[in-house]
Amino acid sequence: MAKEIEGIHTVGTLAQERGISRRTAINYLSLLRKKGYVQQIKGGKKRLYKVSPLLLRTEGNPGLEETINAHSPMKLAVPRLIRLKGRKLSVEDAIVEAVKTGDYRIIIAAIPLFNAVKDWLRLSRRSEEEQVSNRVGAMYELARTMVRTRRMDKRVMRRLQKQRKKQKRMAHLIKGVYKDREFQGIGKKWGVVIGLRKADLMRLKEW
Amino acid sequence: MVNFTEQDELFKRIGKMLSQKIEVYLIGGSAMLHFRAKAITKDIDVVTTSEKDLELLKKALLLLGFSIKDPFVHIKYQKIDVTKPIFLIFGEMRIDIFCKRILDTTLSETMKNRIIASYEYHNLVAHIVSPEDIILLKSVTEREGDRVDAKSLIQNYNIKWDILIEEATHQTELGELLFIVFLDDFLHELKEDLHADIPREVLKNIRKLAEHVLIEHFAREKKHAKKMSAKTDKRKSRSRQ
Repeated sequence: MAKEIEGIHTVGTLAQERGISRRTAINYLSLLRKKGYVQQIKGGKKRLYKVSPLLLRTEGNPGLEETINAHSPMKLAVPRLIRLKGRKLSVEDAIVEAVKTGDYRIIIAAIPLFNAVKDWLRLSRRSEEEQVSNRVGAMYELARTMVRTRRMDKRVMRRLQKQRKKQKRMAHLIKGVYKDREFQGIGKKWGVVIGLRKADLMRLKEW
Repeated sequence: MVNFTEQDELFKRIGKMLSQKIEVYLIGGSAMLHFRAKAITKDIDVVTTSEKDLELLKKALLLLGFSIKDPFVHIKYQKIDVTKPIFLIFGEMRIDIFCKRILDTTLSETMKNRIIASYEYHNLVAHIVSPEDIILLKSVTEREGDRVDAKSLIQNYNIKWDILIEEATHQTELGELLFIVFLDDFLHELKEDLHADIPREVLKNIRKLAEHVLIEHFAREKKHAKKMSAKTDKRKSRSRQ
């Protein structure tokens, strides 16, 4: 059954396609959902159901995109199922991983995560391990200009700034973007080419 | 024979044992375990993307108690230049490790982009290839079990045949000329012997592609042979003079 109706449906489209009543379509979706073949996607006014015969194993903890989606109003499309076994991605880890990707959409979506940070020291330690302290610091200051964030501890701020003194060249927040048009003050302070504009960050306010 | 739980536990142990993060691609039965298309598999087939990763994985497995066994390669591949896997055994568990190539098929970038899931076990990241690529890779073996697996994939999932044909063409462009011929044989066997539901158009297109590739290949061989004989004739005539 899941193979025959594979795809994205509403109750109405499924009933129409299969020539069945709405009630029967709801029953089919309910049965398939209990077996794990159906995933509900939040649509606008109507509920969307994604039916797939592939019963992927979901044991483990969610990956980067799903962790960001849990805390950010701007949702990322998850390219495929990613599961972490043996570790859980915290908000602090997710910020560091997002910065490491250098991907435009992931970084913008990860900005609101600074409002969910509980352990600033963990954030600074992870940033130091991955050598992205200055980028994380720059991203925090960017976040402060646009969205509500928790205040970073001053000691943690000083710790993140240590990397600025060690580096010789400017780091890049967004891969492939080598020039700063706005936020140059933040860029100079942290030794990072921000590569984003206010208009890019305004997207966060739209959601 | 390995089930999902045993495979999962093994990967966790490998992930903890590895000194660096590596990415591997699971193909065959071990990939099918991840989307419940199979309950058990005879062996775990893993493809690494570099020699360095292969060595790291081999080292981790040897530390876990696995031992290396001489690879068995089917007679049809013994005179052909194919990449032989490294076989590692521990009790009933067998792991076959390939590096970039699986016999006469390359793990292409298009295959890597089609992966359906990724599982991270500490330092080991295992990517699961799509059902279409599993069928493609099963076409290069001569095992009856692989035919049954391919048939069950075709029966239970909506196989995107256009992707299959596209990848077959892509493999030919990558220089794997025999791949399309083996795939054509494989799909015809599935259709005729196991009554798999494969559209006729797909079989026609793949047969045409295979014929086209073979004709071009033999034409090139003929040209090359002519050139070589012309050269040897010239040399002989010069030496007589």
